Amino acid sequence: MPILKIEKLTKKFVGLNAVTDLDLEVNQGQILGLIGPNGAGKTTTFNLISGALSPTSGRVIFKGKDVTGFKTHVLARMGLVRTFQLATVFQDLTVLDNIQVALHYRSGEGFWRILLATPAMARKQNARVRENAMKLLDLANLGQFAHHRAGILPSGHQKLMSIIIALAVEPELLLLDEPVSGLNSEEIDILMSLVKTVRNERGTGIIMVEHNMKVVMDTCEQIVVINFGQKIAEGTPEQVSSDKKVIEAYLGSE
Amino acid sequence: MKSQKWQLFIPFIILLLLILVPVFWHSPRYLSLFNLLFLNIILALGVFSLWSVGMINAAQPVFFGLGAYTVAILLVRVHMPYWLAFPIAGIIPAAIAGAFGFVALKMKGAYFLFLTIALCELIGWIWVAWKGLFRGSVGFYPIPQPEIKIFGLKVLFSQSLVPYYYLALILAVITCLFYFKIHQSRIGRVWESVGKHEDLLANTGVSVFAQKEICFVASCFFAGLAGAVYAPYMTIVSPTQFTLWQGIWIVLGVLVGGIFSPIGAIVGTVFMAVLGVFLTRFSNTQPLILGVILVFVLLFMPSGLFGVPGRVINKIRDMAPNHNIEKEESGKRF
Repeated sequence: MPILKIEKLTKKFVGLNAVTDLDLEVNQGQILGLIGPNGAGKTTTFNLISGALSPTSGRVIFKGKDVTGFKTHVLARMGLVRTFQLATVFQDLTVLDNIQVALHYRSGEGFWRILLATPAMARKQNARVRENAMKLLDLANLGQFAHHRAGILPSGHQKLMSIIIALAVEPELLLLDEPVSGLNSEEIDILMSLVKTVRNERGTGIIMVEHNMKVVMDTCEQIVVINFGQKIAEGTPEQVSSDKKVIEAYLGSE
Repeated sequence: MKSQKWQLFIPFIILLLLILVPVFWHSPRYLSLFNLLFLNIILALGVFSLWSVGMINAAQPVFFGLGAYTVAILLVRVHMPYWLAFPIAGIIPAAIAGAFGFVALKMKGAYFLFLTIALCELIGWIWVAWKGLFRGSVGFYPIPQPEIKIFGLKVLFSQSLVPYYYLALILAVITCLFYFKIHQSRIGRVWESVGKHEDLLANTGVSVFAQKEICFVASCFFAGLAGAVYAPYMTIVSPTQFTLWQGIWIVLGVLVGGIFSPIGAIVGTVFMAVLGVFLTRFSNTQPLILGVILVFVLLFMPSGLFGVPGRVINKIRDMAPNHNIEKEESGKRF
């Protein structure tokens, strides 16, 4: 059973059909690339899957359950997590606090438990969350920046952090929105190897919107190409890169 | 650790001084200034807290007033003892806030602010129009004094302002403890993220709406309790005591003091109170002076009075980490 299945997903705005009848499937542990020219509807698709937008019609089925129209935080609790291209981290919090906030829901300690905690209990609570946060940061070698304000970190580090934040939520499906945009080749290697580690160790399914074709072709096992809100091709990197319709969409016709 | 102990020292000293004030200053005028200051601090902390989740509440006097009216109605009509009416005066405004928030908190910040302004006007109108329950523009007078016994001795609320001073001080201290604890904890960080990065936070499984509701309901609970102290203290409760103008003063106080920490709210409220005392001579130009202050603060001190030291510290902190990052990247791969 695929971890995510989209059936005839459609989103119409007044005067614009952003996404039309999109079908898509992702399996556990699979890395699927979602590519297409600018304005093709990739981010809209992500918004539809992650609950930021509600579809005009169609269904989103996650772990076998119809989750169409579910709110973002409900989906995140179920294991469907999305990263953003630009809003990668909580800018004004420290790096450590970023991860501790990301761990907040999973920590199981809500408002009352924190309010009524004695100093001893609070110390234990905080130590546990802090330890988990540091372990996560160490996966990307970011532990050294724990007490720096996240906003001053260079964008490469911030992008890494956004993966760590998503990882803290224990995702079973990860939607990565342009994870390597703005990174140099070294940073790309490090980030993609982190993504692959997440996939290998957790079996997380991954959908990646990316414009960097080298990364897409190297990393994705399956690629879906959309243009004008509709799927125009699907297949392995080899199949897609030689597909006439895809070439036309990106380069124009002869 | 040493700096933390230092930090606890100052509030202790301030608290000690405040406890001793009535011993040295008997003048009702000064005691009543402190009383109102304590109550305003409670209101300001609630407004600050809600500001951290991205919502500005200009209707704090409404919830304050609902608490006062609850006590008035319960004491005068139902002859309920004060110790029972007191918590109810917190619960009713909190419940109304919960209902109002269910609709209003789903909107963007600016619309929420407009809705609170509308709420001010609406509730103000209800207090005047629903004469059966609220006794219209006349209001409730006189309000029976609380009958509280400590160690068997009756506390003389009717004879002096001193018991009210301590009642208001105790409530303010409890409110401060609540807000400092919450805002220093992870909840504080989560709430700041609600204000600034809603979408990212939602993707970590946090219900942004639930956090806003909790924050709002808590702030109106304390506002209601403050109203419960205010009602017997003033001995009169009427609609003109709880206006939008006061709500704006509270919001300005929080802004001027600094919206980044509960201390800012307290500092700003004290500042506005001192200003208010000076400005009583110039009641015609109050709006002008307030406007000038607002523009000055927004232009030159956007982090507020209490934010200025923080910004300087941040600037220093920001300079050092950059230096470290340069060293690391040139020396080794991360």
